This record gives sequence, structure tokens and C-alpha cells, in this order.
Amino acid sequence: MNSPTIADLEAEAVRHKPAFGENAHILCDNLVRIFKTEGVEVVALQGLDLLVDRGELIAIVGASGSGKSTLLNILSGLDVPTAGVARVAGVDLLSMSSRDRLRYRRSTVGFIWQQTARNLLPYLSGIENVLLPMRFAGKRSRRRAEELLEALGVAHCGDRRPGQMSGGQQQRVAIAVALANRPEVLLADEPTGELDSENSAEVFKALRTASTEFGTTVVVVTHDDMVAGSVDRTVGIRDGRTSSEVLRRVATDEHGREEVVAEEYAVLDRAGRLQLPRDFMTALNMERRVRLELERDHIGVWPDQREERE
Amino acid sequence: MRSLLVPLLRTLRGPVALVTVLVFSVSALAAGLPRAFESAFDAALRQVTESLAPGRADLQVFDVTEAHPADRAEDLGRRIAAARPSLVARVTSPDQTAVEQTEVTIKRRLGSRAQTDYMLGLNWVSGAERHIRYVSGGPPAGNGTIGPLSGVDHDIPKSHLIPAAVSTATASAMKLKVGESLVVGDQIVRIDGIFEVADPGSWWWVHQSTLAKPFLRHGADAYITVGDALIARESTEALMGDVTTAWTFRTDIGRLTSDQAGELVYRLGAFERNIGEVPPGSLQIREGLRDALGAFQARLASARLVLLLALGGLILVAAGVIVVAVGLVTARLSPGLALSRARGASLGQVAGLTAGLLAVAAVPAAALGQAASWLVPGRPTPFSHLAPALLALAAVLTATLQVVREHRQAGAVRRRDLVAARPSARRAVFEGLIVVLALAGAYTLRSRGLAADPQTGPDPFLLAVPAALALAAGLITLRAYPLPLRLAGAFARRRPGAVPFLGLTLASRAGTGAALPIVILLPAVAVAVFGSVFSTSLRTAQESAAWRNTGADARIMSDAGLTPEALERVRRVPGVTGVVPAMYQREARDAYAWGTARSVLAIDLDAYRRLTAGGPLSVPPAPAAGAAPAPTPAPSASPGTPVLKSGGTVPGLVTPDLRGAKELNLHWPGLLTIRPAGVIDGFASVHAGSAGLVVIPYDSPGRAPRLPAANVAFVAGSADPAALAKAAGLPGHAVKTREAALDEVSSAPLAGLVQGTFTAVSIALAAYALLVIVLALVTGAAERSRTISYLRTLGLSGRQARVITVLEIAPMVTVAAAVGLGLGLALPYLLGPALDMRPYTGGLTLGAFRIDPVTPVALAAGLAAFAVLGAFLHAAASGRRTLGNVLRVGEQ
Repeated sequence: MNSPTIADLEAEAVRHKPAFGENAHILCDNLVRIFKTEGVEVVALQGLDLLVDRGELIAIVGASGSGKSTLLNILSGLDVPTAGVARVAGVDLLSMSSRDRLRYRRSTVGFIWQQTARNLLPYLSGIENVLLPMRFAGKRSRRRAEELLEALGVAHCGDRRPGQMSGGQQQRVAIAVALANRPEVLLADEPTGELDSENSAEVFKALRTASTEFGTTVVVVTHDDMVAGSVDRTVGIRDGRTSSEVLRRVATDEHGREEVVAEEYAVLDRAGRLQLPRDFMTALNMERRVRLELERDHIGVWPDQREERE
Repeated sequence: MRSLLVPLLRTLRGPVALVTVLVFSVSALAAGLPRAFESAFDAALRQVTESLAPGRADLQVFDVTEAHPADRAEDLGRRIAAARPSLVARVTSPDQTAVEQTEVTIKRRLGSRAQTDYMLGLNWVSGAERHIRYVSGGPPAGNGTIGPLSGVDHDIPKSHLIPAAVSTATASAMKLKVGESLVVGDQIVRIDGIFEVADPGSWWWVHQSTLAKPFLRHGADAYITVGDALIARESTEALMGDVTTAWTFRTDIGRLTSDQAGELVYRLGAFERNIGEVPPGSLQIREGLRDALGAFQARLASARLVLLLALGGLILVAAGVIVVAVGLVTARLSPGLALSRARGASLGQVAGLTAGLLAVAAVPAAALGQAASWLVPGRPTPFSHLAPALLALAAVLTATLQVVREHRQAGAVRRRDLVAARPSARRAVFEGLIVVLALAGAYTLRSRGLAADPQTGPDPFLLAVPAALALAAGLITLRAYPLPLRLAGAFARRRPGAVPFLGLTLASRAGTGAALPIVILLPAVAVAVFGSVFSTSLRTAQESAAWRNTGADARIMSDAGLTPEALERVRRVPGVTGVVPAMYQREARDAYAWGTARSVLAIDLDAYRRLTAGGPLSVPPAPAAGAAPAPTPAPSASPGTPVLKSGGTVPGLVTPDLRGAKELNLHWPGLLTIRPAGVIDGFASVHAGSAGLVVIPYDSPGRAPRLPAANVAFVAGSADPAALAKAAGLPGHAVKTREAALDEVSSAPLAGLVQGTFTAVSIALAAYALLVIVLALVTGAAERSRTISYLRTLGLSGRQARVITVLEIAPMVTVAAAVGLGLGLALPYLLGPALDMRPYTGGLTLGAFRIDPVTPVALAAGLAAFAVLGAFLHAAASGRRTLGNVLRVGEQ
């Protein structure tokens, strides 16, 4: 019996290893978006990677101008990336025709903006607003609209105009609107940005309902700690790249009590690039280059000694 | 999407109602004004025939080569009527068939040797019996022969005896009695009856005036009475000598519309060419309509240019206002459409929704406007049919295109931190092309005029030149106007105060927001200013025309003449400050050139110059006596009585066509020898045209003693025309005042139309211009409020905020008003000869346009001031709103 060579083993490993993000519901690989006019370029995304599984509820956080909204616009089919791979529910967002894009917006994604007033048509009632996307798609199910409002706890807002609802009610109706055509993915851009904590909690609950009851994949861009702290995974974006992830899991301590444990990870991309958190770098005065040392179960990162000596 | 329409209409009711009102008003104007134009053109066309001598517009077919008996003549008449082209047949109707033997001298009465100085023609006219009433004897009957005779009439061989009837006027002038027989040429004419004219006002008599009343003709040394007698149908076979058969078709120009005038000219020409082929092949045509219609066509083309300029300016401006109002609708619609697009609405769905919304706003309004235009009397034109529909379509398309452009990409990301793209080279080339075309058009128009082809009318490219010029001026202004602003901004930057700098910077950054108001304001001011210049010049020209028409404050004319006593009575009428008598003879035969006639006017030019001092007429000095024998004044002459002398040569001013003549010898009716001593362009108040006139001193020798002292009197002063007529012992129509002449000229259809149109258009333009300023303020209100509120958080005071707003609006308005003013003042010169004033001045050509700078400048300044005031009030109103609220509105 011929023992396999190392090369054979490597080839075998690669053969069976799934391609990057093959099973992900949302895949962004080395995504680049450059806004360009004569002489001026703004690089909003510079090689962003992101994987989201089906039915997952994640939050994206980042400083202003880090590229969060650009990412969401791309995922919602409202914007087209300059380069890279973006795939949502098996749909390649770079190669869509305008007809595909329309179908994608109608049936694959739902969207919620921060401004409560921007999500709903002010001259239509709650239920009419929910029916609107169905009409665009050539469908019409008043029952479905009522069920959605019921599920999100705003059944009583069906006959009200947006001006007659509170901010939280407006956002929950907006979620119902976004879910009207049974999308696979729900994208929300700071949905609680204009709300007080009580309304924020209700809206987040509605998003959670969308995820759990309807099995919808939910991506929320947020500054709200309550929201960021309530999801299973929080992805941090810095300078147009995913920089960190916080994973939360429920752990049972020695007394049998359940508690949420959050662990922060830095994101390692496929080329092996890693962003060190800025405060780590500042604390150890790391600049320009660092020294790496491979240990048995970890890699040590050391400030450049020579630089320090100089 | 239909379910969205109703709530949208409810929400956007303000802007939608504005679009509705605008589309209605512009549709009504665009459909109604052309109808008014056509109505006035048709009235002007009817005046063409009224301005001709009676009967000149009628179509007459002649045969002078062959005598046709009545039956054959009537048969031929039916064939001629059938040969008329259909348009000619529609306008003309058979009126009378006449067989006429030309007037020949009545040698003597039968049974008498005495000669007569009468001439008698013999006419048979169809339908004559319906227009006469016998007062003595009866209708002529009993054709036959007579002779040979004996006694005093022994020289009469066997001759035709032609029974005839004459009018009471002819009978009395020629002293004829019933039963009397006359020797006329080789025929004997027996007077069987004397009739009176049963219907003197009837058109029938226009072509038979000599049958009703004889006239005086110059003989070799005396006047001869010439008249016609009516003969029986069967007598037409016995006519001899020069016999003319005439078929008269009465023209009713009222059945023609102005746009068919060119076609009629063409068809009459074709008829003239074809009539020679109708047997017997010797027919000819006589009509004065073609020349008159040709001139009318040219005047019409000029009037169309002026009216198109006004209407085109109005529609350009109104369409611009509609575009701004539609922009307001789409701006309000836009957030909802963006949301719908993001929620899965296709481009077609949002475009359809917009089109539906605008269709609801515009289509019924356009239909109502069209219906309202039916209240305006006049014929609809293809333009008036189409304009409202096109306007509604334009409103729908503008909105739809705006929405399609804005929402082509769903939720398109527009980053505010990026610089604006530069305008494309393609656009620059397109704009350059428009400017070049406009200038080339203006050049062609100046050098060639409108030169309307009678068949096709004026060149539409040339008619579009004024609108193209306005567009070109707008485009150049749009390109150029930020430059001085930047210069002013650079200057303001160095000054300590921030307010002027901020205001000017905001103005120069206004970009496309400023474009529409400029494009709209500029032609509005240009057309209003042009209208004002045109109206002023027109009034001057009309006054000048009135002066030329009457020659003084009032003119008294009498064929019978004005006696010295009558002139003296006129002098004493209250209000009269001066009277200059004149004697005008339209036809004075040249003694040596057989058949040539000149017109002679005897007037004291120096006195006339003093009488008309202060008016626009230029009167040349009286001709110098030169080598002429010194006139000897008759001691008995009283003032106003011409001094009569005999023989000698008198100096005279002649029209340019007679300049070359050494001497003119004219019968007046005594021989008058005139030596041309200078040139006069004409004397419009008494002599039509500018040729064939000789002006001699009032007291020239050689005037016949039998003639009255004067037949024209020029009167200065503000006397009552009725009193003047009474003093002169004449009917009222003998006196014409300058005021009446001015009224006549200015109330002529085309003149009234042009003046009325400019007034209406100027008012409408002012309203639209003000509206566009208000709309421009409203459209930019949210953005401006935000900027101002932001600046106020930095410490800007309320007063400074108002100044900034005014500084932001004022440059745009000032530039538009100034360029519009310039264009309006330049248009008369740019359009040059194509702007013909003759249709409105009774044929008088105007030298140069008179610019009264006050009205146009006041107009432009008024509009600009209103705009700035609006901006100021708007800023003052915005200042009262809470900063926080303003800054939160539309936050994204």
C-alpha cells in the first residue's frame, strides 16, 4: 500500500474543502466600491469580506464613513460594486441585468432605512403601504399584509397613516412592508437610529421575529449598543474592510446559570491579512511593522524592538 | 399603481392645481390668440376690397373683338362661369352680362341741323328691368329700320332704328325727350322711355354708372357730356362699331379666408391663362384683385412675423413656467417614487404613475382651454387645434422624462461630497449650433426680408428667428453669467464682511436651479420690451400717416369747388388758426403728348409750411420764379381769390419721374406751361402715389377763369369738423380731421390686432414672469432655508440672512432683465426690413424705430424689483421658523 505523499494529501484536502463561502446565504469576497467623477475618487469599500449564513441575524457596526451604508446599498441591489464578489441567496449582484435587479428587489431582499418618514409613503395607510410591494410584483394578498402587521404587533396601525403612528410603530410597519414579498434577506440601515430605547426594543423584537418566525436572514447596520449586543454576531467595519467580529453564545456557569458570553475576534482574510484593533496598537506603540512569532497554538505579535531602540 | 393616483393627487393638490391652471390658461391663449389673429386677418382681407375703387375687385371678362347678340352673350356667360376654377367660383358670382356699343357723338337730333356736344353709348344689360322704373314712356321695343328720309334729314339713307331708354339724369343733361330720335353714327336711336334708378345703392349700378348718370369728358376745347342708353335684347344684333361684350362676376371676398388669398391669386392667374381657350378664343380678363391680394399677402406675412414673435414669446415663457411647475410636482413626487423603486417598482411603473398624475392634471385642463378658445370669434387654425394637446403632452412627457432620468437606477446613490460633473462637449456644440443658426437666420432675415411666396407663405425658418434669438441669448447668458459673479465674489472675498461673499457664492453655485428662471425671464422681458418699442414706433408712424392723410389738422375737399366766400367763412370758424387753399386737378392732359395726363396742384407752399409747422411733414420751399415773367397782381384780388393771368411759364416742383422734362404743357383746361424748378416726393394728402404730380404756385397764370378758386382747403386748429363743413357749405364727409384719420388707421383690423396682442401678451408675460420667480423661490425654499438656518447657527443675524437671500436671487434676475432688455431693444434692428409697419399705418413705411427708453427700462426694472422683493419677503418669512425644525426637514 502506497502511503500518500504530502502533495497528495494537500490536493485531497483542497478537493473536499468547500470553496470560500460556498454555503453562505450572503457572500462578499474582496468587495470594492469606488465612487468616481472627474479627478476625484472616494474608495468606500476596499476589499471587504463577509459571510452570513441563512437565517442568521447579524449586526454591522463601524464609525461614520466606514462603508456600512455602501455595503447595505450593494446588498440591497440599489448600488453596484466596482469589483469583487457579492452574492445574496445565490444571486450574483455583479452580473445582474436591470430586469434581474428589479426581480431581486421585489422578491429576494427587503429594506428598512433609518428615517422613519422615508420608509413609508405618507399618503397611504399602514396596510396600503404593506400591499404596495405586492402590487409592484403583481400580487395582492390583504390577508398576508394583515398577518404581517399582526406578527409584528402593529395590527392596529393598519388603517392609520404614518403621520398617525409613533416612530416605533412606523418602523415596525416598515419591517412588514419589507417582508411583504417574503424576501430571503432583510436589510436594515440603523432602524432604531431615530427611536427611544423602548421603541428601539420593540423594533429589534420585530427584526428578531422576522428572523425566527419567517426564517429570514437579517443584516442590521447599527450604532445602537442594545441592538449590537443582542445579536448572535456583530461584524465591525473599519476603513471599508471587515475588521472584527464579536460572537455571542450562551454559556452555563458552574452554578448552572446561563449567561451570554461575547468574544471578540479579529477578521483574517483569505490572503492572511488581519487588522489589529487600534487601541491594541496604540497601547504597545506598534507602527509600520511588527515581529511575528509562531508558537505551538498561537502567533505572537511583538512591537518592532529595533525601532524602539532607535 | 392606480390606487396610488388618488392619494397622490390629494397630497400634491397644490402643485397639481398649479399645473392645471397653467395648462388651462396657456391652452386657452395658444388656441384662442390664433383664432383672434385669423379673424383680424379675414377682416383685413375684406378691407382689401373695400380699399379698391368700387367694382375694381369684381372679375370682368371681355370680348372686344366680336359683337355678340344677347342670346349668344348669355350662352357664352354660362360657359365662362363654368370655366372658373372652383376657388374663383366660390368667391365670384355672375352678376350681369352686358353688350355695349362704345359711346359715339350724337350728330344731331332728327329733324334738326344743330350739332350737339353729347356722346351716347348703347347698352344692353341683363336684368336691367329689375333696377329701373320708367317715369316717362316705356321699355324700348320695336327693332327695325328707317329711311331713306327727306326734308332736313334727306341725307339719312336706310338705317337701323334702335329704340332706347335713358335715365332722367341723362335725359336732362342731354335735353332728351320721349319719342325723340337721334342720329348716332350711322344709326337712328329713338328714345322710347325715360327711367329713374330704382335702387341707387345697389351694387348692380357700379358697373353701369354711365347708364345712370352721364359724365363730363375733356374735348379738344370744351367738356363733352357722355352717357349711355339702354336698348332692348333684340337690338344687340343691330350694334356696330366698337362693341364690347362684358361678363361681370361680382366678388364677395367675405367668402374667402385670409389663408386662401395666395391660392386665389394663383387661380386667377390660371383662369386668365385658360380663358383664351374658351371659344371664341378672344376673351380677356380685367380685375384689380390680384395686385391688391399680392400686396395683402406681403403685409400679412409681416403681421404674422410680429404676431408670431409675440405669441411665440408667450408660449416659450408659458411652457417654461409649466416646466418649472411640473418640476415642482416631480420634486414633491420624487421621495415616494424613490421608495417605490427601492421596494420593487419598475421604471415603467413609476413613469406610468407620473404620466397618469400629470395626465389627470393637464389633459382636462388642455381640453377646457381648447373649449374656452371657442369663445374667441375666428377660424381655428391647425396650430390652435394642436397647441393644447401638445402642451398637455409636453407637461406629461416633461414630468415622465424627469422621473425616468432621476429614477432610472433604483435608489441611485448620489454622494454629496463629489464635485459636479462638467457639462458635456456635445451640449456645448449643440448650444453653439443654436447660436449660429439664430444669427444666420437674423442675417438672412435682414438681407432678404420675409419675401413671402404667394403660394406657400413665408419661410417658417425665418418666422422662427425671433424665438431662436431669444433662446440663443438665454444660452449665452447661462454660460456667461457665473463669470462676472465669480469676479464679484473674488472681490467680495477680500472685503471684511462675510455677507456679500456668501450671497454671491450662493448665487454662482445656483447651477441648473438658476437656468430655468433665466431662460424664462429673458424672453419675457425681451418680448415685453419689444412690444413696448413696437407700440411706440407704431403710434408715431400712425400719427405720421394721419398727417399725410389729411395734410393738416383738417382737410376740406369738394369737387364742386370752394368759393372765396366759403374759405372766408371757414377762417372765421372758432378754433381755426389758419387756412391754406389749394386747387388740385387729377387729370390735366398734356397738350403735346396725346393721351398723357398729369396731376397738378396749385398751392402756396410757404403758407402751407407755416400751417403745418410742428408736424412730421417736410414741405419744400416754393419754386423760385426764375426767368418766368413777373406775375402782375390784379389789383381787385381779395385774399383767397386766385389771381388769374394768362400765358407765360410758371415754375413748378415735379415728382422724380418728371425730373427730366424741360417743359410741361398742360391743359387746365387753358394751356399752362410749367418749367420744372425742383423735385417734390409727392403730396400724399391729395395725390395718391408719388409720380405724375406737378406742384405750382397758387396764383399761377393760365388757370381757367371758369374754375372755382380752390377745391381743397387745409385747416389748422382744433375746429369742430361739423362746423367746418357747415361754414364751407358742404356735406360732413367733405371734411376730414387728422384725429379721424388717426382713428381710422389705428382701428384698422391688423393695427388693432397687433396693438391688442402686444397688450394682452405683455400682461400675460408679466404674470408668468412673476409666477416663475415665485416658483423659483418655492422650489429652492427648503434648500435655501437649510443653508440660511445653518449659517444662523453660526451667528448670522436675521437681517444678514435677508441680505444673503436677496444677493442670491438678485444677480440672476438682474442679468435676465438686463439681457432681456437688450434683446428687446435690439430685436427691431435685428429683424430689420422684415418688420413692415405698412399694414398698420395705411401703407406708410417707417424710417427707423423710435425708442422711448423709459417704458422698457421701467418694465424690466419693475420685474427685477418684484423678484428681489419676493426674495426679501421669502427670507423674512423663513426667518421666523425655528432653526431646529428647518435643519431637521429633509434630513437624510
